[in-house]
Amino acid sequence: MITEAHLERASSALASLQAAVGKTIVGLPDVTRTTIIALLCRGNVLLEGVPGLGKTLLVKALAQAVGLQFSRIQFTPDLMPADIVGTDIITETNGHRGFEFSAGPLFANVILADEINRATPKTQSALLEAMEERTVTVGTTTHVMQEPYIVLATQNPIEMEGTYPLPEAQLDRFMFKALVRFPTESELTEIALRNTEGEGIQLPTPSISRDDILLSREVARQIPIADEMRSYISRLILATHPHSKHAPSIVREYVEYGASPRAAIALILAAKANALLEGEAHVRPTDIQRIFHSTLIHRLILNFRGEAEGVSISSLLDEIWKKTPLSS
Amino acid sequence: MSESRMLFDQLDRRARLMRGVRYAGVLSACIAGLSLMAAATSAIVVRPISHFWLIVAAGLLLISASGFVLGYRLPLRLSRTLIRADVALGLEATLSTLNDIQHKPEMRLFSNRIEAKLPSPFPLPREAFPVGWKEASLLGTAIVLVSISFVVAAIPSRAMHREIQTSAAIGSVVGLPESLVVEASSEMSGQRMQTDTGLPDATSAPDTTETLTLGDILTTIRSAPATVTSSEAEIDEASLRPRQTPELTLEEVLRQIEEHLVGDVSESLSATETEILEAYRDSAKGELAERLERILDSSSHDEILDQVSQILADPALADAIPGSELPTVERDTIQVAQVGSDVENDSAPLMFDTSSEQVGELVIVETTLPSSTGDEGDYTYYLTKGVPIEPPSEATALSDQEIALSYQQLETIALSRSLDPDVLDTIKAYFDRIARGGS
Repeated sequence: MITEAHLERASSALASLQAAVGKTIVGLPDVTRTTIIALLCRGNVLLEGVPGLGKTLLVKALAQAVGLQFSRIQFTPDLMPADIVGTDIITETNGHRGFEFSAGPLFANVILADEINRATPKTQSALLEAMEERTVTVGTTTHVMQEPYIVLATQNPIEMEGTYPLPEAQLDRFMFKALVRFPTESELTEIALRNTEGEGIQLPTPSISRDDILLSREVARQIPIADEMRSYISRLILATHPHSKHAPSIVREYVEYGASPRAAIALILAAKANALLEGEAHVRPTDIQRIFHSTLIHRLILNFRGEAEGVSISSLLDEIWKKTPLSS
Repeated sequence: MSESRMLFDQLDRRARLMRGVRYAGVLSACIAGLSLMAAATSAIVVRPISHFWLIVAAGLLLISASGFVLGYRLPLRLSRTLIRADVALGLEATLSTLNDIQHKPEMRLFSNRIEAKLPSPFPLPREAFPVGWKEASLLGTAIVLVSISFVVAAIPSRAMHREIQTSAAIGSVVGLPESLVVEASSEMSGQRMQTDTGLPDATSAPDTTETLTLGDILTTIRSAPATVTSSEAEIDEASLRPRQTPELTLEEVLRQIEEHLVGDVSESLSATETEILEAYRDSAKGELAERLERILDSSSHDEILDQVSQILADPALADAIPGSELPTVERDTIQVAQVGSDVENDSAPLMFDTSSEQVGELVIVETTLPSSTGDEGDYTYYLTKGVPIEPPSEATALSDQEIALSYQQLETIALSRSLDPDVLDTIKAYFDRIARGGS
């Protein structure tokens, strides 16, 4: 049972984490928040942005601030599943030979899957089990990942030549898709200053412990949410489906498939974590709004007309949000 | 009971109250719409509904009250009410969450925090559920529809239009001037509207519920010279002449009284009626003869008129006059006659010579009537289909080709033949107008 002390400890730990990452990363507060929320919700994040925007730095800073083991995998077309999962190798101990599992880079707490769309689907799918089940099966042995475990994948939206776009099934396993935007003028100036003066970019020192993260996860799950808010989230999800009565006309016109039930779960958990991050004792509509786009933007599939007319999924989500009232 | 629970109850009551208001508004608007349709249908197509405003008002009151009670009594889902209050008050789902976790001990930590964050003092429930545009628009719609329906109900119906045409046709048959026919019809319409809508009608004619008697005619004759204008005198010399010679008028009135007593009307009465009238006549004739003798010997006009009035006021004599025994017709019970279509369709306009009119009587010049109105019984002349006019007696005929007809005769005939009271009213108005010197 959650006590006042637990609540206070979780709140202060998360505040420290945000501050630590914020000291390293200039701008991108939403992406940072989304990443921390994913950490609290046992989720994974797909970071999309052009190279050089600080995606890798963000992941490194997060791992460093939490004091967790960090692993980076650069995905390339020739990357094999065994390269990331690990493999059994023959070892000899006291004259006794046997197979021993040599863990791949997936066995860490914070995984950076850099340019995930450059690997083949076979390698990409090797991530599926680790991302969703938090286990890796090699041969006949299933290995359990150590919590907290989070996969942060990046992809470049402009260099699509020779890439393997992630299938919908795999996309759905990412709790969030965070769009890493280009920094503003002031942010850019600040980034240049930090990297060209003194000792350069400094990664944060661990400000919270692994236990703090696990406690915060527990507290986040206990944050209360009203039944009407759950109904509201359900209506929001249904509104993404073109054949639903809740769907606005623009969705019926341009959407082929809507979000899955996993999206509803993600919305509720993320809203709870957001409320905890903001020091609230319950889930508010504002909490849902904060994570609405990043939770659903990769879960809607446009139809041919939508693709042809270049309809923005973000604008669709804005319309859904506006047309779905909280009190029905 | 905790403060939050009391707060929830207040919000719940307020929400149900507003729902009751909405229900009442919706039902009122529906009823008002139906009333409008009914008013339009009845006024334009069929005929106006009696006491329309009373029915509408009572219906609205009843339905609105029922809707309100229904809306207030039916339970509301509290969580939905509270989320609406949250939205209205900008409380970010605080109330609805508090309501959900209030009874969970493991959530005590969070519920205490939420309660601590509630604004103090808490906004009044009416701020969460104010009277909004929905309620106002429903109420406004109902009022507008009711107003329109009242207006529509006041529109003369086509049935009434036919009735007016009937009056006009009757007026043509009996030689009424066109202006009088129109005026009489308008009076009928005004009275009809007043009766049907129950609303006061500023243009309606004075109350004429009393049956016009010869006494009234005499009173009118007495006051007539003071109201005559020079323009009226120029218009109709023939109608002025009798007023200039009241002696002649009085003699004519007395002649008509005598005529009633003597009894040319007997032909148009039933056997029973004739027996009764003859009994009255026998008992009153001697006394009347004496008093009439005195009247004729009187020197001044006023004296003559007073004495005639006394005669008419005498119950014994009044009983002897058939017309005075007839029942008084109340305006409110008048039903519109449906004889208009027959007259309207069958009778061509009949032109009569009105140059020889005299005060208090109608002079009809003999003319050829359409065969369709004269093929019943022994009568040659008809007021309207099935209502004959007696031919003039030898003694009272003004000339070989003229018929003298008093209102009393007409009333007797019309009522014994079940002529519609409305038509009779028109005729009465005509006689009244003639008596006052109109043309």
